[in-house]
Amino acid sequence: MTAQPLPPLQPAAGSAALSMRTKTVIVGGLIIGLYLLPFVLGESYLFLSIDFLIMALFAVSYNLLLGQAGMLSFGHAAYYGLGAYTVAILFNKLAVPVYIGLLASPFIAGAIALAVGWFAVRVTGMYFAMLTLAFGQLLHTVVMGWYGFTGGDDGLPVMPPDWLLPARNYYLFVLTVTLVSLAALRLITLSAFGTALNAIRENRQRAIFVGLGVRNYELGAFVIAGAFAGIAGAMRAPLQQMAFPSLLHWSQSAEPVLMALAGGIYTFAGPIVGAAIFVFTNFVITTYSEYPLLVFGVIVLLVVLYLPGGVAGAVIAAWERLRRRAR
Amino acid sequence: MKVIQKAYGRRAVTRAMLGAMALGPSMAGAARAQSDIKIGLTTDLTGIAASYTRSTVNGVELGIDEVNAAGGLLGRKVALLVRDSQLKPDLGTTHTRDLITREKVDVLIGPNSSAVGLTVSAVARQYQKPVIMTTPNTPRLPMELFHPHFFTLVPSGLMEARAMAEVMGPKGKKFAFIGGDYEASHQGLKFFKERLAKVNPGAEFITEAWPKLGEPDYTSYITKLASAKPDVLFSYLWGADLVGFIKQAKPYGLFNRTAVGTLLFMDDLKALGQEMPDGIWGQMRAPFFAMPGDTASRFVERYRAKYNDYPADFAIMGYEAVMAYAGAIKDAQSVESAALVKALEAGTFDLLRGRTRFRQLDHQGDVPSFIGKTAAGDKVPFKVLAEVERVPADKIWPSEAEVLEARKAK
Amino acid sequence: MMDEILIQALSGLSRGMVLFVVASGLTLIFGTMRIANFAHGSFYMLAAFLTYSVATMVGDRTWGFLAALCLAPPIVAGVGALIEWGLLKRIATRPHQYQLILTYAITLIVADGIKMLWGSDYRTVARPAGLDGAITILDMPFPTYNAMLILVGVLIAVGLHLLLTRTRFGKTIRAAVADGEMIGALGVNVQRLFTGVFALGAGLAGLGGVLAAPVGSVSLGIDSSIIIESFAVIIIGGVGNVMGALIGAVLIGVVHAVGILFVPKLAIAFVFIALCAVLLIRPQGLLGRNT
Repeated sequence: MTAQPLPPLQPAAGSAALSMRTKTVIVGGLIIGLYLLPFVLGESYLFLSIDFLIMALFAVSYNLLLGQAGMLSFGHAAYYGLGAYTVAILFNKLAVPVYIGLLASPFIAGAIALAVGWFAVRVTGMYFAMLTLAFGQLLHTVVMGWYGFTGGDDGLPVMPPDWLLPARNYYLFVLTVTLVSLAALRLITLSAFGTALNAIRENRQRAIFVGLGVRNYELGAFVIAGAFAGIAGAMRAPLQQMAFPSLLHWSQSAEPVLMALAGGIYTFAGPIVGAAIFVFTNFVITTYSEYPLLVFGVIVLLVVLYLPGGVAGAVIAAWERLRRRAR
Repeated sequence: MKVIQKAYGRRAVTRAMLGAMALGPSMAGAARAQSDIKIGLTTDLTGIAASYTRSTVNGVELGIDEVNAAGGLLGRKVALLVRDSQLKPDLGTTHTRDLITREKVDVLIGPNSSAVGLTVSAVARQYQKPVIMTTPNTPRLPMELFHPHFFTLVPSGLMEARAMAEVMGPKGKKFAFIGGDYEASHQGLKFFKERLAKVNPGAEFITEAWPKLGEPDYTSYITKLASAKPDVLFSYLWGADLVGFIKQAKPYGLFNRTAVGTLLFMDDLKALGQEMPDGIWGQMRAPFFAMPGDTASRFVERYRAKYNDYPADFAIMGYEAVMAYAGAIKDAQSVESAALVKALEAGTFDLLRGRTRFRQLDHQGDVPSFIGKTAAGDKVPFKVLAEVERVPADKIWPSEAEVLEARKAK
Repeated sequence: MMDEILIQALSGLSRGMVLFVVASGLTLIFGTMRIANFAHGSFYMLAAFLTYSVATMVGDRTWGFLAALCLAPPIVAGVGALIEWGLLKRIATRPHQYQLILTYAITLIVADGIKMLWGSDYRTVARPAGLDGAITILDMPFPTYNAMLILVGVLIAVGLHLLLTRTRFGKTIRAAVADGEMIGALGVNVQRLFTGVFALGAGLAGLGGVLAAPVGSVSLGIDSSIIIESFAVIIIGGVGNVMGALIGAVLIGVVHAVGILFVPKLAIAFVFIALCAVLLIRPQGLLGRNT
């Protein structure tokens, strides 16, 4: 009973629907809109938007594994958390400002991802999920236990410089870093490397047969995804003014899977949509419900059962239907 | 929804949700009367600490009800806004920021876990809103991470460990330790050892056990401790972990041979019921059965009438935070942060644990630490502490030099 | 010193036995259905809370525990069957991530559901009379209840072995573990097999929950710690292999117990150290077949 990859949504479905020009206009408009947002939104919503941007990068980095290469990692939070700790430790031990620490985070997170991935890519499917989960928990345990270095369970305080403290400035900073990172990830998905990952997802056996170094490609994807998750985590630490171990915990690893699935894993924008839904839902539920886990769990159940392609998948399917009818 | 409805009513909740969904700058709060004094409470209602947090919210609610029944403060009603941080520091920041910037709360009460406490305190510093901590007690808060808007009504981990060393120190030569493998516990042992060296210079630690938090099975730790045959066991376990440990250690006769001193909350006494052995030295933060005076016993009655439960340590401290704010707001005749901070610093507050002041240096409330021996309770269906000793704050809190040293080192 | 190590090993063994009972269910589900069932810890927690309620209702500590032993595992197995039949079956042909996330969603729902029904207080369940004392082994007291756990663990291992080798149901499970695609071709009703295996697995988790309830405390959050250790056990033992789960669980229990004698500060990492060591030597697990 090996589950087959879901066929209905070709990765190209979204791109075929819109011309290159329309797409550029839409994306450009969105970016300008995002830069104007701080002049419209209240401070609280601005912080929520920062949250969204960070989660969007986290989710898109994860989707390089799940959506592009078909690798079901369940330990992605480890690299996200390591990014946060890179910033925090550099700040606390060497007084390195957070924006410099941010530059180091993808390298640290990527290096650890390389070490873990070296073991993990030897197996596939659910087995890969469990291995990444186990290694993620190992890293979580190390961070929890090495209190002299990491501050243990209480976390490690991070103080952003004064100019980064106001919501508007930090928003613009995070927006820029996120957009640059997303652009880089987009280029990677469109490159020959990305195409090879697609081929592996579609048919791993065939990819091996045609002589693709499948494991090396998978390892590459794992490291790149880890590195970008590290950047997301590095932006998290100054936002909370702290790095803390729950960022690496396995329940945090469920979040990018949730976001990717909710948004749709076969489009680049899917996980971004998923992140928006996730951040907003989570905020509303923990504000207004006495049983947030219950409500959240039920929502996830409904999405899994009734939105197999995620929100982006559903929107694209509806769009296709409309076009067909128009013709 | 219970908690929130109390402050808002159902329709307001719906409105607030719609407001939030519109994601515009429209303030959900704008629809509400502006005259309420708002207390924001971000705390960990979801997760392993849920039972403590429930108590905190109950205590705070009861305090606010009483203040409102007495006509409110400065002629205004007091309203409570509760948010669930789920033990996640990131949610703690998000909600505390939202409470301050969108809901415009006037003052804050801290959460349950130390990690969330640190982020809530950082937000309070950024927005210059007073926050009173009622549960998280890492010494980093009043020491190196101190800021003028921070106040605490919990004896810090440093104070608790020293109080324990004062009481348990003279009870033997050979000491053993068991505590969850996390920062507070390691710190606790360090502080205990430092004070022990003064109280009983000949004492030494012969074994240490570091189970993980949430360990289900302590058997192997207990065999290890039991075979070392210590005179005194210092335990930094608490909650469900402590309950599991005590149950499992009983068959070994550990509590007959060894003087055991441990952190203890009312919830642990309740959970163990009659299975709790007699003669364990328990350290509590605010045991309702050992509060002085009539005010406290009347409080216990009101609490029981309202919640059909005994007030846990956390309920008492939550209630006290409201009382301290009420006193300070009356003194300052204002809810404006600077005036309020001044009033909190200058005032003396009649709380359940006794008359309390916040020390200027670190805004640590001069609350005692309660240590006594477990014994049958005559009025309650579970064991209580007998021969309770109140170790006064000034005997155990850090000296000015220590505090300044810690801040400089940072 | 030798005595101490022996007594530590014994207590590690009793710890490993509860873990084995829970992990055996997980490994059967994983082996047959290729689902990493996160809800497994929730079944365990649910059974522990049921044990508390049944014991409280019955009143007597011995009869209460026995009643819970008879009632809780079947109830939890029923819940498991419902989840498989009502939810998992509907997405059986989808990629793994959907099943993974679905079981994760169930952990959230069960956690808050338990909080809703039982409240957030932590509870204790008394040990049955006669099992609350200690026996003396090597001049050291050893809790009778833990000795009983070791016995019960062995009995369950034998029982599962017989079930898997002697019954038709068991043989089908083993065939499904060996080759999932062949099973359908052989004319086995795969739907019913999956529902049965999931119920059996959930029931085993429930049994573990009942056995563990009198050991420590019954509280929210016990699902999370058991599930990670159980995953480690089945990776170490080899997925789908019940005897592998037994070896993995005992290994983790004993390494942990003896380890804290020598390097107490590494206690929280023992599980993962054992895991990494096994993976380095045998990536498919101790008794797992090469894939």
